[in-house]
Amino acid sequence: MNKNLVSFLVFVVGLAVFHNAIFPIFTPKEVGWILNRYVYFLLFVAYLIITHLLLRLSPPVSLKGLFVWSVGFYFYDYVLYPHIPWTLFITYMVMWSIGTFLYISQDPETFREFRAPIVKTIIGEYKLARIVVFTALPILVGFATYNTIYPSFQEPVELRTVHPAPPATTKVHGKTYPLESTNNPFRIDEQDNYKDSFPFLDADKHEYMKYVTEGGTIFFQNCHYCHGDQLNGLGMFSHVFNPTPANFIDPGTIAMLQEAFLFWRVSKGGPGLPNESTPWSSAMPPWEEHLKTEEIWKVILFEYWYTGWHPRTFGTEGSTSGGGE
Amino acid sequence: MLPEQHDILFSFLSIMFAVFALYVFGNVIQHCREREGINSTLWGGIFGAMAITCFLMTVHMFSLVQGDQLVFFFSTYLWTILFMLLVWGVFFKSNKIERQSAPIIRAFFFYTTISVLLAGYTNWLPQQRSDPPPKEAAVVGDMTMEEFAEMGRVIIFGAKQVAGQKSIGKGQCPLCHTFDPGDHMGRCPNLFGVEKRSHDRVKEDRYATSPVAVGEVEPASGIVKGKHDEVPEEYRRAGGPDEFIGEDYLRESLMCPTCYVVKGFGKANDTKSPMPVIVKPPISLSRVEVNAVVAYLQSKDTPGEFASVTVPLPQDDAGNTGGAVVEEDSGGDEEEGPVFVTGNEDIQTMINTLGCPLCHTIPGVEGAVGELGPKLHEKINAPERIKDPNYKGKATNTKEYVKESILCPGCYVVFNEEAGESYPDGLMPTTFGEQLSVRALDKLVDFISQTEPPAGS
Amino acid sequence: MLGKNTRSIGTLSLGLVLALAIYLIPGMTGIADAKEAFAEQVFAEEAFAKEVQAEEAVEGEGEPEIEWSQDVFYKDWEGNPLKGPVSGYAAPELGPEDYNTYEFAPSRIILWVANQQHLYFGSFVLAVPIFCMIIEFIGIRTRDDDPVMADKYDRLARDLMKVSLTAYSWTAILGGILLFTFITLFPGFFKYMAGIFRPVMHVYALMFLAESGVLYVYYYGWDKMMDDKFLKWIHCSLSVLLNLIGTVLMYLANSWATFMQAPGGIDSEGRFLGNIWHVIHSTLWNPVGVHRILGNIVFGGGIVGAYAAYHYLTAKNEEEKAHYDWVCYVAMFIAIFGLIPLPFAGYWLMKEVYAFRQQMGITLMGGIMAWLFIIQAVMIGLLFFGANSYLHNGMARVKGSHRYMKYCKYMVLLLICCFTMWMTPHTIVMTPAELKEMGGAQHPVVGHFGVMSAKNTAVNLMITCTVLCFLLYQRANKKITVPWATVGNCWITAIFIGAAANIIFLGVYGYFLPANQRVGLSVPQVTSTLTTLFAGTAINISMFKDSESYGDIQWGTQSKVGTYAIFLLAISFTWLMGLMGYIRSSVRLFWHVTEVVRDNSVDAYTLTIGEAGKMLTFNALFVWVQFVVVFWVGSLTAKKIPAKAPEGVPVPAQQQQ
Repeated sequence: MNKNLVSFLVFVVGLAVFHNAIFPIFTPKEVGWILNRYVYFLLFVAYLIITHLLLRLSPPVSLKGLFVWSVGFYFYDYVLYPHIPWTLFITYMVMWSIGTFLYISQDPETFREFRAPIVKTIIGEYKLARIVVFTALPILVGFATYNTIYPSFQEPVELRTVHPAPPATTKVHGKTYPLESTNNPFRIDEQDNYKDSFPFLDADKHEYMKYVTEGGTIFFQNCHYCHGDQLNGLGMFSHVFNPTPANFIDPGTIAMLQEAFLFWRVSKGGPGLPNESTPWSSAMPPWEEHLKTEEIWKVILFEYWYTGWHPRTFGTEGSTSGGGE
Repeated sequence: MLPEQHDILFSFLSIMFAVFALYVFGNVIQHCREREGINSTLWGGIFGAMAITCFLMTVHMFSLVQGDQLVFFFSTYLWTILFMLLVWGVFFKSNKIERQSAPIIRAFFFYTTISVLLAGYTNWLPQQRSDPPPKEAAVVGDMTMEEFAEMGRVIIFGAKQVAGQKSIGKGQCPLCHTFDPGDHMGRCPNLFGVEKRSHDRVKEDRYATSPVAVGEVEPASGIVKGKHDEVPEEYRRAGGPDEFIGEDYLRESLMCPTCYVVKGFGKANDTKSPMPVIVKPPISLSRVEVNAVVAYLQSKDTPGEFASVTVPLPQDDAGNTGGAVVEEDSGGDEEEGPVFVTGNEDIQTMINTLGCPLCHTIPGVEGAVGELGPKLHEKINAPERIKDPNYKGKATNTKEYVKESILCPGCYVVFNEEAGESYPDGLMPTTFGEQLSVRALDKLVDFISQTEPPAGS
Repeated sequence: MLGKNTRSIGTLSLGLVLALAIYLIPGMTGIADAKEAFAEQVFAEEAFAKEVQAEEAVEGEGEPEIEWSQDVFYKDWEGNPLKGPVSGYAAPELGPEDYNTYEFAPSRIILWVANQQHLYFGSFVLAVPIFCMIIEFIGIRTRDDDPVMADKYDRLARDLMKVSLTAYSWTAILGGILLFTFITLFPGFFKYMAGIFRPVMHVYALMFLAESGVLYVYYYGWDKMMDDKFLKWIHCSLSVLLNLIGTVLMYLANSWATFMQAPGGIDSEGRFLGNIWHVIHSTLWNPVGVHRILGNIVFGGGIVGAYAAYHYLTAKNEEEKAHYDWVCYVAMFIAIFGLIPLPFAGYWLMKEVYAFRQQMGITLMGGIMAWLFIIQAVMIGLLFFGANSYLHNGMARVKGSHRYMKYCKYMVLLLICCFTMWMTPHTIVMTPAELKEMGGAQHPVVGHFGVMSAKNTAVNLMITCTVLCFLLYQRANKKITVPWATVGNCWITAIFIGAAANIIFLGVYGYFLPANQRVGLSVPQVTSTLTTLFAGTAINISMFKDSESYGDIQWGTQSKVGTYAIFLLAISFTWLMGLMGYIRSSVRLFWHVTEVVRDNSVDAYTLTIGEAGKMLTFNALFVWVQFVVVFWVGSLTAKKIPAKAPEGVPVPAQQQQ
């Protein structure tokens, strides 16, 4: 039998068997270290390689390219969970296609080998293939056109820059704060000295802990409904918001921001976000109408204390301390 | 780019395509001449027609605007070019097509494809145009007169105004004064047209003598009446004319309410004003704030017009010792934010923060000699009022009564025996429930329940 | 012969490193003690200013007092704003009468096109003398050992210069167009700029004169100075002079742009404070200058590469093919070499932007410009793919490369995985339905790739992988015979595995650190990458001693894919350069001069990404059309010099052996 056909069958039948029979085993409710979908995927790839080695199959580059591309498609579309958004999927598939092309075109021979069946189809050496391709193509184009024109009712895409550029200054309770140079007035301790004390109150730092405690009180009176009692953005109301409230535990939120940025964001809330990159959909109220200036600062102090992050600093001491570690 | 303008990229590409069509035509002609057995008229005709078509389409592109250009380019022009390429291929049939197209053409198509794909990618991403902020907002630094008057407005009315509600700022003015024409519900004079009156009033005979004569010291505030240059230095006007102008009258009215009492609005035969001295606790406006209020009063009747304002801006004010920042520092954190009392303060601070002394006389609280509301002698009064047949409240003891009176001032309105009428209903704010923590309310009730007339009286 | 060839590649690398070092020195020393030196200088100036003030106070009784005002940027020793005498008028509040428009396009777009075209050409004509300098120098150095090779180098340098000569006058024409566009469309703003930069503009014009003079002597004196050894050295030093003048020219022109972005030397009303050096030397001046020099080298390399690739495709005979294949290789080598330090210059620039206004930095990295940086990431990816594709295809034509070709696919896989990581945005565009399916704004798996740690890791791995690919390319046709071959191989392997492990470890570790410390991790990561580059290359080259060759590189057999990879690199460089220029310029948002002169024209808005992308594509295509025209004009005068090769010597240079 034609070895290329065998190779193709190994791929197609293998994929069908794996997907329908083995995949369910690897997606139990309780995901384990072995029983998960990524291990399954590795197994599938291993199966492909091993069968090809055992059967001494060496398909032409065009077929190999097809396999490689399909495996990538299968991974992004079926294995990766939860399914990634469409835009990201497109991006990933473009990446993967470029990679496949690089693989195919890594030297002139492989590229020639890859082109051969295509050229042969076009000039009619593969008669059947040509007929199939040239009837299938218009149908495909027609189908794609139909799909595009067919009205669909998609929800509008959400656009949101996570960290809007703050204004240079913000005016809270009649006082103007330059965001760049404003510091938390209650951050009286040297940076990071308090870190080890988490989550216990540190008896040595009375004053600092007093502010933290006050901030915590305010947090649990006002903020935790949305931002969660563990500051992880999973408060009791969080599920109805889109986007969900910020998760302070995440290293991508408060950990990479200056305190003054938070101060601006807390004071002005969703309505105070800049005009650029609208529509914003932050449900956060402008807390300056409900809290006093010190209270906002204390809450911010508490958030950093609880999560153990240190606010971002710019300037010499930040970069040197970072560079040294 | 505006929608009614041309799309530069696609206009450019259409020109390049026309040039390309011309090139193909030339190439075909050349081959027809070189090779035997070709129907030169036919092929020349076909490609000549195509070149002309492309040229006409390019011309047509320039009669379209941006959006239509895009549609036309992708729906018609691009396909024409692709069709031409195909026909070109047919012309070269079995003649090594690859050799026929010069590398420059291939490189051109390669470049165009890559860079148009990149442009397409950028158009696939979310599109947001960012407009510059309105110009006023960009002005940072010194205040304009408009901002200064606005600052005065905030002192009077507070930063946040809710439709349908009387909002009250740090200065607490709207508790008694009204500001709109025809609104005479207030306990104190309507301030509409006060700018005009300020100039005339000082010339009236009554001003010169009642209740104190010009040049005499008014005892309650210690201000010398009618002398702008004897105002305490902290608040004194710097520069300006030597006589007593309208601005000075307004300032005097704020700093020394009893220096002149408008007819019908005073006590003791219009010789004593119920208004607190604005520069003293609990309101304690600073120099800049007083000026801001004056600026607002002078400009409020002519919206958007600040010609009648005579007070200087903070940055131009020669007498301003603290600079423009003063008002921001003092006016900032505590007062202008929402008033809120947690209960950690001492009772004096609490009561001053809440503004009780403006209207009530409270024994044991310094400066609490307000006379708009009943004297707070609740240790004695409360039990009596509960027994009053008009009392409809639910309180059964002093503490409950005091708490009820704080949270629901309208539940029982005390009869003013001196004046022979009820104290005005609806004057006392009903928002104390939002401004007090539970602990603060307890503390306040405890304190007020213990108030009794001083032993001497 | 083999040893000789080893030296040849060594010399080339050495020459490049040296040239780069020379170019970086002014900037780098600038960083090294910039702060201290600067503070001292400012201190001295302050003292001087006080003296002047005192003198004036003594002398100038009765005369009008000179007004002193505070600088918007410069600070003195104690961090207080520096004071200077007001010597200019305040920045105008521009109104509608300060702007002229055409109907067919917004003024800003027209100015953008004019500016960009001039910059592209300027970049090219500044880059070519750098190449010529390096190549001519290498030519002189190899003259004794390998006259054929030396001749080739010399001819190449000369060919490049010829192309550049036409482009030079074209640049001047475009500069004139730019100037007129500026004056006619933005008269109010130009008046202000001219008021401040008056002396700089004149010096600039005079420098142009000097540049032209040196350029003509350099090019037209080539033949005359060819034969005598001493004269040849003089000729070579002329190229150094040419480059110096060119650099000064560029720095002067840069000062206008950097002043607009981050002004200094004026007070908050825009009044000039009497010190022109302050205005020129504003905070972004040095980083932008260094960044542009590197960018010019890369861009010039791309153009020369595409030029050679085009001639390779049209070559009529084998010699020409071989020659242009070789030129492609040299141009790519230079371009990639400039590309590697480019990100570091970019980091420096970014750091200074953050130091100037954090708000500006956030607008760039997280605000409205953030998507443009995503596009930049795509472009970087294209560059990596292009470079690797070229290397793989180049390797295939080297005899003996089959030993390494089998690793190519794994390198491609690694590249793609890294690039996928690098491309994953922190904020994903999605519909609410997709959001619900994911259960949050962050994907539980790929969401981890959205942060800086992952991206630094990815890009460092990509560079490391490319370096590895280059090393394999170098040794493709060599049979290593040194006695310590095994040890050397082990060392190279160890360096690469160690570097990769270190990069990955630091990347993962970064997830557990707060942001301000995490930023510091990029330093050791980059150090690992650079270690592989330098140590790996050094060991690799020293292993070639006495190596046996499987055969020469077959110049002239470059594959089509490789040729198009060069085209891809060239167009990507062009587009990327336009993109980064657009980002740098548009971050001022609605200011002509940040926070001093506001743009009150109707075009003050920031374009959508799509509109900007279309303009970039137009600019890139338009400039290439011009390049084609200019090259064609340049080729009209050329006498066909037959590429004659002495008998017995293989024409294609054995660059690689």
